[in-house]
Amino acid sequence: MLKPADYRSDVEPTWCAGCGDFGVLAAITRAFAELGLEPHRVVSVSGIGCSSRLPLFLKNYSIHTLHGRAIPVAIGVKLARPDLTVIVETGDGDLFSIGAGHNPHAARRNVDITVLCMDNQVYGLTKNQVSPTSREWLYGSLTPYGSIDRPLNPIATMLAFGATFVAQTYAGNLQHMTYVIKEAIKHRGFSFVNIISPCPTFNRVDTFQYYKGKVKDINQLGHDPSSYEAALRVAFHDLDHYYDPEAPVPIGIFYRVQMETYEERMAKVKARYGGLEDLQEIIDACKPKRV
Amino acid sequence: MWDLTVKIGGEGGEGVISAGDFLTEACARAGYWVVNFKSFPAEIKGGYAQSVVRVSDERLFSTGDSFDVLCCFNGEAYEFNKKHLVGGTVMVYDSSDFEPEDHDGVIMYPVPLSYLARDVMKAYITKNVIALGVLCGLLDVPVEPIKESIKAKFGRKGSQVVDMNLRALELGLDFAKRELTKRDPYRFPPAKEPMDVVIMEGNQAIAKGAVVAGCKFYAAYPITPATTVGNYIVEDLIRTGGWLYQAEDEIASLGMALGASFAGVKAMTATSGPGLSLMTEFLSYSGMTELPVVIVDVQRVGPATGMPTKHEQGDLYHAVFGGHGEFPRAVLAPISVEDSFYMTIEAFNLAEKYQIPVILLTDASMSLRTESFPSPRLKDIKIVDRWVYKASEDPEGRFRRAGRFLRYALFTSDGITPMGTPGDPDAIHAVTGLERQENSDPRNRPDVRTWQMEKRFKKLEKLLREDAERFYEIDGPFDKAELGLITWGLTASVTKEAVRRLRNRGVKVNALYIKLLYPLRGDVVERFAERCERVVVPESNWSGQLATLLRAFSHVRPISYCVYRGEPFIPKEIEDLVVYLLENPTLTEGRLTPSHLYGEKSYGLI
Repeated sequence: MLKPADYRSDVEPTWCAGCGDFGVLAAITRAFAELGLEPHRVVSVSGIGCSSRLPLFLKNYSIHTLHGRAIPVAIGVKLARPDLTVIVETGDGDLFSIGAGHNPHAARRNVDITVLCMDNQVYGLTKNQVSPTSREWLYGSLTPYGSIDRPLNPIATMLAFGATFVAQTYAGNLQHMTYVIKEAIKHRGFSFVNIISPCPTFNRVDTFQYYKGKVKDINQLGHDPSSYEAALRVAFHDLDHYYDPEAPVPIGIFYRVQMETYEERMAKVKARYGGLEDLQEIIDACKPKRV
Repeated sequence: MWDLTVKIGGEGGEGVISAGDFLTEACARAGYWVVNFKSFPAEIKGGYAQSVVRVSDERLFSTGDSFDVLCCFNGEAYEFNKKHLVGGTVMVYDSSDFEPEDHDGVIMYPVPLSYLARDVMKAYITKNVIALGVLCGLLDVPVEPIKESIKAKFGRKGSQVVDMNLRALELGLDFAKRELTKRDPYRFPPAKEPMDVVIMEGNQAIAKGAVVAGCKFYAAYPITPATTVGNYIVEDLIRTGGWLYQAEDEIASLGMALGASFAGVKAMTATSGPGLSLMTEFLSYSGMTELPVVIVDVQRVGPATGMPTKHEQGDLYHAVFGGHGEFPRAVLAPISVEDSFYMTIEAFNLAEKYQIPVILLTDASMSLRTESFPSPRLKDIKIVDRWVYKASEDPEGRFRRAGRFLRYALFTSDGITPMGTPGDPDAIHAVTGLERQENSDPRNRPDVRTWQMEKRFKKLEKLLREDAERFYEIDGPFDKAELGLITWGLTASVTKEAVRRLRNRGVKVNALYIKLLYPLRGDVVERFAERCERVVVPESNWSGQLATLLRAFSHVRPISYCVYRGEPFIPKEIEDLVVYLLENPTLTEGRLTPSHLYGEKSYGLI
């Protein structure tokens, strides 16, 4: 039996003390151990940012890519090797700003990868700029007057794109994180988990203090993840807390539906047309035609 | 040497291109060498389209300077080509569509193509096959191979369609025999025993080469003129167990290819200028992470959207220098369709052997050119596979330290270390674009940076040593040639024909065709240049990009000849260039353009 520690590399995290990502790292290794995943059959893919360093701290195959580009690389890995477990560990800037063009297509095509978004609502590694999920009027180095942008709703966005598994969890709740990450990895198809992971250095508003007591497990409150309409309803309400500091913050599985994955369809096509052994045939097809 | 060029022009959608294809295939079936070039406008339907078919009993390298026979499907085609109608040229034209002006010495054959198609055949779509029949009757093109081609092409649509087209062919043949009195000297010799050749289009040759090289993943994002690489590869790829993924953009395409490469398969993507710009960040990344990948850039006229369907050799700087930071890469450029096939395989071999990105540069005209060339025999082709780590081959555990696989180990003499494949418990590792220690642990230390840079660039040193020389095709029979021509890409194939003609005229020219543009073997170029009084580099770009590279990476100081009109060179133009330089012996360096040679006169096949 593998223990969580068996999934940790000897590279020490470079995160600030009190960073929510430590919790995420703990939850991921616990989820791996509880699922009994073999480290050599897991590929972690990340973009750039504090969160995206995470794969380097894991002892599995990992590829630390470019800002915003984790998802395409993960798809390449998965299509080349559908037998592997592919997990994207990345952040809100990557997924919803620079890399926002990639999410819709991975989701709608239901590529079987798990996307874990460590959402700290700020750009940390570049030292304090607002991100697409920052609340209004948040101060950042480029918005000294407070951000005038409206925040993007990661949950509603991914639901709209057609993700077949959409959840949110919170770095202050190891047990809930572990549970949701496990469910996301087990899910066949594209799964997205937004992990609220507070930044202790730059985001002085969305802190552990702030979230403590506000997070509510929607599944325990009776939300049924099989209903798309219900998921959208709750998802749009979850944005309330960006505007209303008193509003509850929903965590849990918003939506889960089983659909044929991209790789399953790919396998069908390959089975139908594949099987050519002698490559000479593809060359001979270019000889002047004979009847 | 027997040599004939037929040009068919008409409206896009009238079957101009397929008439040219029938003729091309029939010529190959009849035992002749053939090159075909087609062009059509950037519109889906309508506009001027043309197909140029050149046939010979000797191996061909270009579509020549002009045409001997012009077949105009409409008045527009005539307008486009009339300035090239010189004495002795034949023109077959649709007399039910237009009446041409008088052209001195041009042999005119009026044929009411539209009338025959619409009123006799009662099927306007057969116009192109009727025209083909006329050409066959007039020029004694062997008819049996054409019939075979028609059967092969239309067989799938049923016997009625085949019969209709065969009747249309006969109608054209009959018309030529009955109504036209032959007044021109052009005539096909009788069919010979067919040679063992294949006919491929430029992009098709790349696609076939990739599959032969073992490509299993292709990421596509459509862009003219690279799209058809994907069109051609998709079925062969799936049949051989691979997959084509249509990505959301070019950035994703290269990212996916690199993901697939990391996962252990040979991967490729193809694009054109603007797409290569988007891919550039990942290009640097692949150099830094040492992930093998092949990127095809089918150059078109830039910058920005430029002229998307036209020819230019303008991306060489980008291919060689594009990207942030410094990293090893290789840039290959085929000089013909046949070469496109073999260079694609070479690109994969270099990428896998050295774990670097390899850029294959072709261009819009090469992508649409069809060539017959000797059938490749796959068992004779060398395929390089990835060096995959096997614990059993590493009993001392040199590539493992403290339980971790050393993907970026520094102790090998050539900088190359085995790759680990996900799924293998013995080679778990991370790949990162950050500078790192041997075990992938990110580090900013000056010593680590220095060692890892040296490790990466040792690979290029080895490539120059072991794998570069064969990419320099030297045609240098003269110990002291009056001129040395150095060219790359499609210009090289045109130059080959010009060189043949110049030598027939007694001009001493040596030629060097460079297919590996980076890293560059400066010493090979220098040795070549020493055997020439002067060296000139004709290129289809404004700044003389290869000439600049030669100045940077060798001691050679060539004259640069730059043409940037969106069309390839014609052999005559290279001949004119050589003659001009012989007449101006004081010119030894600098940059020339067509205005130096021709004044304001423009030149070329339009």
